[in-house]
Amino acid sequence: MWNDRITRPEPERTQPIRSWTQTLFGMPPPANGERASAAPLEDVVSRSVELGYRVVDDYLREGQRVAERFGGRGFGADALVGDMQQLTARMARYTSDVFEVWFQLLQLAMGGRVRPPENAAPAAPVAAPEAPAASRIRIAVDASQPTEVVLDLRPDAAGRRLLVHALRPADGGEGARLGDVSIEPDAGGAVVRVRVPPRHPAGVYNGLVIDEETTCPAGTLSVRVGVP
Amino acid sequence: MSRPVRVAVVGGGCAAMAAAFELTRPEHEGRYAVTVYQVGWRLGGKGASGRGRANRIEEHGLHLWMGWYENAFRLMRECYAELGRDPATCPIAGWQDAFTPAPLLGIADRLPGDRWEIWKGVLPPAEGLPGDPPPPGGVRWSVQDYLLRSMALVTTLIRTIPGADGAIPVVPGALPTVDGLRDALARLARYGEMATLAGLAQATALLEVALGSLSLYPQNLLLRVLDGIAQNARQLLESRLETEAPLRRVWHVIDLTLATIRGGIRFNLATDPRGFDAIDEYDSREWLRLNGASEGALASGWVRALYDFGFSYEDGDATRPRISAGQALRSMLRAFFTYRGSFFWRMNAGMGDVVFAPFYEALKRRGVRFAFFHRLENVGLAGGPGDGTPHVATLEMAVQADVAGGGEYAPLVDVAGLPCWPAAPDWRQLVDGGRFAREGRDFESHWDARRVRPRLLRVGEDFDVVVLGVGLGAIPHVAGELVRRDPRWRAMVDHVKTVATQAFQVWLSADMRELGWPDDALTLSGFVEPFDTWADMRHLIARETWPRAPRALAYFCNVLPDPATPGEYPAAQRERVRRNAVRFLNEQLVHLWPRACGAPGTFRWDALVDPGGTDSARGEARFGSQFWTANVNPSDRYVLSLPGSSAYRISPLDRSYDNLTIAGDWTDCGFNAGCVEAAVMSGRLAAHAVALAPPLADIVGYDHP
Repeated sequence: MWNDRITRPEPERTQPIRSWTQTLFGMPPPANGERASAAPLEDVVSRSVELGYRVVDDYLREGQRVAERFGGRGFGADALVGDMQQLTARMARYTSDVFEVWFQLLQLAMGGRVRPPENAAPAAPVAAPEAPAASRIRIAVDASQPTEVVLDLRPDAAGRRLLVHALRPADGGEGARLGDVSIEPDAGGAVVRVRVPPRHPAGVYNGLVIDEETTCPAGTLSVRVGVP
Repeated sequence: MSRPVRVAVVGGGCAAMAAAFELTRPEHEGRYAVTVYQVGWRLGGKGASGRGRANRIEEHGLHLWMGWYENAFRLMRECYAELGRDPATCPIAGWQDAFTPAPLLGIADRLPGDRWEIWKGVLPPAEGLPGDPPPPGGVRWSVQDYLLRSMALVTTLIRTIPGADGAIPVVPGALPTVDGLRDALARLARYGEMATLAGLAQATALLEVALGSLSLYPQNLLLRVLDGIAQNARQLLESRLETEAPLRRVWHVIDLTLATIRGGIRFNLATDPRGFDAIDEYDSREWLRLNGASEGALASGWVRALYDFGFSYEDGDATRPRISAGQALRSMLRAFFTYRGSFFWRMNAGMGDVVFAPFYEALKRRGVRFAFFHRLENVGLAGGPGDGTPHVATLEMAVQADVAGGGEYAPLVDVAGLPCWPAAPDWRQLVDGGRFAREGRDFESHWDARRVRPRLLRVGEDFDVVVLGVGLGAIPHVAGELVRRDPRWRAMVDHVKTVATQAFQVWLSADMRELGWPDDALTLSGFVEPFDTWADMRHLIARETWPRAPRALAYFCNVLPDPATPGEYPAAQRERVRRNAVRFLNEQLVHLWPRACGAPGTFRWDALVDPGGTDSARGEARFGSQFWTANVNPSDRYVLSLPGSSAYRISPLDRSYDNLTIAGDWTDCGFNAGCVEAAVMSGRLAAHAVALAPPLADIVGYDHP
């Protein structure tokens, strides 16, 4: 009798995937508790996180430095009236910069540059990052310095109207941005225009690509400007 | 074709209905033959409602759906689509007839001198509608999406500052950019006070974090001095903010947001494989404090509302607010940053009418059998060490009543074209129904154990697989053998605690403006005990059939402390709720409705509308015509997300018993908190446990930090 009993099937797993990295990168779940080897992925993420911490720490040190100056002059009405507006803008800047650095780090990490673990099952076709199928992206660069442009778009960005904000230095510094960048409709696709002003500081500049309709991030634009 | 798998679904709440709905999808081609066993005469569990006198809607409490309830909305949309109700004959034909956006949110803040201040805000509509099909490859939850939306929230709140209108460039329909937010804050800086205060406070918060990072910042003398400066600065700021509510609210949100971000970084949540469960051991307020949130922000209405909406008071004790930091963070992020359409959605009839009547009708059409008046008394186990795989061998039921003629009980009534659940059983359909009515049999009461006969369901004969979908509070009573034999089940019922709740509804002859509330209908929380949450439900009056229609309708709810003596249940608790409500109406409601009292300390009792149409009772006695409830039945108790309790939850996917799965918001379902969405997620997981469908990736939010 019991041999004929109908039983539940074995589920593929019994716990949710809580890891941000696994969730973000759409990695296949480990089977029944077996931990997937994802060293290359974790390396990249670890580097990103370390960089994020370093940036945040820099901001914290800067916050300390500002507060030290502030504290050194005593805490009174003069101090409140004096540097506070500057301090306010600076603190707001710290906050938003931390946000943006994290956007960029994670966005970059999501952009398909991460190799999946070697023993991972092939990703389902719908989940695999792929180039926009229906859109042709042309990149037009106007620069007197060596310039490399990397455009990472999410799979669902194909055919969407996109815009890009000014690119910020990837090192989190306060150096000049790359503001003359745009994404414009082009016959059957889009053209990414990047103009690098003469003698622009060398470095990597990153920015978010936004879906105009939904205002959600649709990818990243990264420009590496070489030494003149 | 092999015979169908016979599935016994025990319970009729959201989780059980979701499981039944999934298992009977046409795609399964009749593979699963489902029977639902339900105590009493109606489905719904904690979401059950009934039509009482004047067909008024009587709920267990306040139920609002949130815009991030993706799984729940998806099933409801599919259910309504499948029913294909005719709008010409049914007032709620489609899901958008059933649910209406309710974006106006209120938060109550206590001020010195027993004064209350109400913040009202409209959370902006978000793209899409809840339950829309997910994008190919499923939904991916990302930090940047959360942060972008957090900025939108902050900007929205900044706009509530008097004088700030127009100062912040806002592109209609667009989320603000990083630059936009910074510009907005910088612009506020030029306005002076707020910017000065916020800027200074941000500086202090950053300092505190730096000082807390001992490995990076050794505590030398200079840093200790700076710490002192920061504390002094914060005290100064908070004392000044006390008198400027709009500035204070903005500061509180910014403060809490920054503390959350700091905590996320310091606790390594971005990469911890446990996700937010890594901070499950912390209480939410404690964790925010650890990460630099100010005491002012922690005492604000925002944080109190977080606890209030989740009934997060251990043993119902208002002095013991506790909620897991991990689950609270998950809840807040999902609630504020992933909602679609509207933040809140209100139902346009009772929850039973809007949710469970359609489920019942759809499932009946699919061939599901409903065995009402069946109370589970024990889950009999077999197998184990040396005796095969552990499994459920029997379900021991008590039949509360037999249906006359032997057919199925027909549970619904028609109210102006809408199928609804009545507040009492249809005695005429029951064998000896007249006698039962006279005896006052209460089929839904845990304490009324009367039955007409036992019924033993056997595996292989009556069922193959069991979906146990009762409330957690009922588990020790209906599955005692499981709890006694299995240490994991014992630990779960010991550590995953529940709380009783109380609620009351009042129908008024005066409209809200006359009562002193000039605004649109809203949902407000963070208010005073014993009823901290109020929802203006005036939109439901039209769904009821009053001889003389009331002009206002309000729902109130809260936790209900457990009595010192268990023997007080249940009548004493009901009387306690009545007294609480009367005291609240007399003494507290005036803070919300300034003209609710005829004389100081005396509610306008004559404004209450008696559904009997007599309005004869005078004074406080008139409250007797209203509706109130003490949800003290074990199955009605609300599950808490206490710190450290997630680890004790058992997943519907757990296979310790090879023909048993569980369904309910008390399970380890990915979103471990008491709500409709968690219940539906759990029900879908239970269906997956039985049929490997729906795919786990299709259960939105299951794989989430």
